[in-house]
Amino acid sequence: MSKGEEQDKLSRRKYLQVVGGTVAGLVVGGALGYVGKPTVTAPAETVTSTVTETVTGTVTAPPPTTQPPAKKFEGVTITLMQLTGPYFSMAGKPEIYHEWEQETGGKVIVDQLAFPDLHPKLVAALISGTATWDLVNWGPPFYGDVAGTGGLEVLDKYITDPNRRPADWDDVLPGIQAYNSWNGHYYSFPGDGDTATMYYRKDLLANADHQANFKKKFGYDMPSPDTGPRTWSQFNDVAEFFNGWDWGEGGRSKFGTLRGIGKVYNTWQYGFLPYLFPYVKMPGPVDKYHGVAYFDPETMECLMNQPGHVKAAEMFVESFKKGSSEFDLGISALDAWNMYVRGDIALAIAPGNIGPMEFSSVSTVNGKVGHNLLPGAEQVYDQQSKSWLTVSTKDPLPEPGATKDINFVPYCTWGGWVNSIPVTSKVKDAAYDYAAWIGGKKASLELCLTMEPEQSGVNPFRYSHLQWEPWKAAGFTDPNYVLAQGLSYAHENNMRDMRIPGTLEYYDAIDVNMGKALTGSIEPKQAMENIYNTWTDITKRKDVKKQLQFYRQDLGLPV
Amino acid sequence: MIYLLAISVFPLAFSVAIAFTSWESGVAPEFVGLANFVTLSGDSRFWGAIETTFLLVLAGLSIELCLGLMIALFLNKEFRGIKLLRGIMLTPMMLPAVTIGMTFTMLLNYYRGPANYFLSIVGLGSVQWLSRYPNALYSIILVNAWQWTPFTVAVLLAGLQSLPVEPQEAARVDGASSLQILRKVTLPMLFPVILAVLLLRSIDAFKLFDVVFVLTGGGPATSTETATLYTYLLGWTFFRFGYASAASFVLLFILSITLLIFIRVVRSRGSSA
Repeated sequence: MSKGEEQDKLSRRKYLQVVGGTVAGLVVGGALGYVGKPTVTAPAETVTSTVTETVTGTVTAPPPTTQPPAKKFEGVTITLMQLTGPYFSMAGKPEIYHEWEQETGGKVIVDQLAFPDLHPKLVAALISGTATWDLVNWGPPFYGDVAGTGGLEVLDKYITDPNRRPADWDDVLPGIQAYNSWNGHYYSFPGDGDTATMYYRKDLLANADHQANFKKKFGYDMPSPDTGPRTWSQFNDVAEFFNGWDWGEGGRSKFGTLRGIGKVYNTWQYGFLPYLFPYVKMPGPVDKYHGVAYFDPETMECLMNQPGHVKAAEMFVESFKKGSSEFDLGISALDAWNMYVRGDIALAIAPGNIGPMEFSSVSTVNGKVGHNLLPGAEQVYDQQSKSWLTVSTKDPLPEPGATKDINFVPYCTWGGWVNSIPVTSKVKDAAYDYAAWIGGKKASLELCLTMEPEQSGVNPFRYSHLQWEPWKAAGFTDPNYVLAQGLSYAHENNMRDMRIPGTLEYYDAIDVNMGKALTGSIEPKQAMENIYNTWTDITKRKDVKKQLQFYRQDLGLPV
Repeated sequence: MIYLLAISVFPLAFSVAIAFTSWESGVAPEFVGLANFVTLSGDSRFWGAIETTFLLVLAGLSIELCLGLMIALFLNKEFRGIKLLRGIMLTPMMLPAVTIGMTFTMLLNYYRGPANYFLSIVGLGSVQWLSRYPNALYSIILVNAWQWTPFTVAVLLAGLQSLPVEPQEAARVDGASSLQILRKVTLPMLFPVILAVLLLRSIDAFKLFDVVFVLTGGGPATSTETATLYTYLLGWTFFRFGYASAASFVLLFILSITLLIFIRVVRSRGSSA
């Protein structure tokens, strides 16, 4: 051992001696101190009186200790799969989850998926029986692919069970009820309502100079600022009138209309199909010639190349070429909505999501926007007589019950995001309770009324949502915003999305071929012919009889 | 071993198996032999996507190689700040492709994007970058080249720095110009590295998906739809699992054949030079 090491060893020994001695001294001293401390003895009379008082005095027994009642789902955790927020989801106001948690004692874990991933992962999980979520939030156009997997719990008995949280099913708008059912059963609980609504700049339509110039150009009066355009012809003319020049602030030319038809799903949804239905859907109870647009409900023969369909395609392409811009092919629907509230667009077709955006910090259109149901068609092609007919249908805004010689077909597209329970869930009761709560009257209205910065993306889907006072209190200024959506779902001649297996593949054919027509690669007639051929191939591949069965079920026809 | 089987062998075997079935939503899986491959042979949209993919790969690689070589030659010098410059140069390839796609979606926005703003300042008109064909295709090529040229630079620079200097010095002493040295000495020695970078980038470029998905979604119509994007749509939007699997294997086959031909052609030219 070196001298240095020896010195270190010595110093460590010394250290231990000091520390050990100190600790020992403290222990001994403490013990001695404890033993030696004087005992404080209470005076005898104090102790006696205290004891007497305690034993002989009137003592009120403390109330028996009771535990608060156990919360219904104490200790239960549900995993909720939903879209990344805030738009289109109910994630925009996360404190809502906590309200349910506080009430029930349950816990909600949210698994968020991006839009392109959500339905693929859901279908894959349901098909393989590997869904790990207790509640899934998804979109009804996928019903044919999702509900058909057998992976979703049937909710009929949950909805009607009086011992469960009330569903208030009578309060759900009829079109929304239909969107949550399939093959005669309910597989989902509604949590949102989406329908195509027309947004128009009523200040522009009210401008005297614009009115005079419009009449000069088109030979008829500008549509009223109280209603906006009521036919697609008028819509196209108004869009053409306001397209390509600066009618507002900002010093740059603006657009008649943009629908954001450049990205996934948008050409069919807010572009072409709103045009299609008024030209092809005869009003009346659904049968071979009425109430249908896509296929013959007796043979599954595709109808997409019929004269009414071709006319709709021509009108849609005209609106693009005269009233819009190529730019529309490169943006998404959300981009278009943002541009609308920034004051760059005169007319828009969109779900209720634009409403709250009108009050956002970037909006320049607060109070300037009118709302109405979609325009209709002056004539509809009748498959039975093979001729064009004029029909009368309801145009309930602003006069309830009013009819016009126009075929109005409100397009209740998407149907709002819904909640379903995978059969693999081990906590179905809690999952349903959450779905019924967040889709219930109170929570859903609260979500409808949220605006920036926590816009939830939830749009009206219950009758109770259509009362104006809460909206007014939340800052909305136009009752027609709410009524247009509600009346679309309540309209006797409305149209829903097709919901048979492969719906998105059918709709993709519309996106592709209408995209070619819009860029001028093919004519609208050829586009509809291509769609007809593709749809026919898809139907044959999936089996005509099976698809016919699903289609008739979706229409509410006997199978 | 089990882990390896689980994450690589089993998925591959499963994909091969379902490629021979008619499995899709609403249709139970059923063995159909080569029917999917026969259908693919007549699928004009699939072959259009293959054509688009080849265009993107060829154009993109040409830009990446030429630009990458120029930049690598420039960075193969020693001057103040060169290390910092080399580091900055590599930044684009470290960014996630989705981020790049979203950034360029904003930059190339026709109405409010900075690209058109600067064009208008210098007196040029606005360009429909993403909503008109072939502009949309050019935009994708440029964005992809912007992201991956740094990779080419990095590999070529490493190659340049590993080359022996004596042959170049000897050529300089003999009176060769810089261009002659580059053509006759440097590039032939660098050939194996060039081949390697082309192969690596080809394999990656053929799989291009995320930038296209974010930037154009394959539009307008299907004009920028790549083979991988179409295969994704088949599987995960149309839920045609069997057909999508068959398409992916056909794509793999085409890629393999293409690369084999490419290697042989380039090697034979290299050896004859």
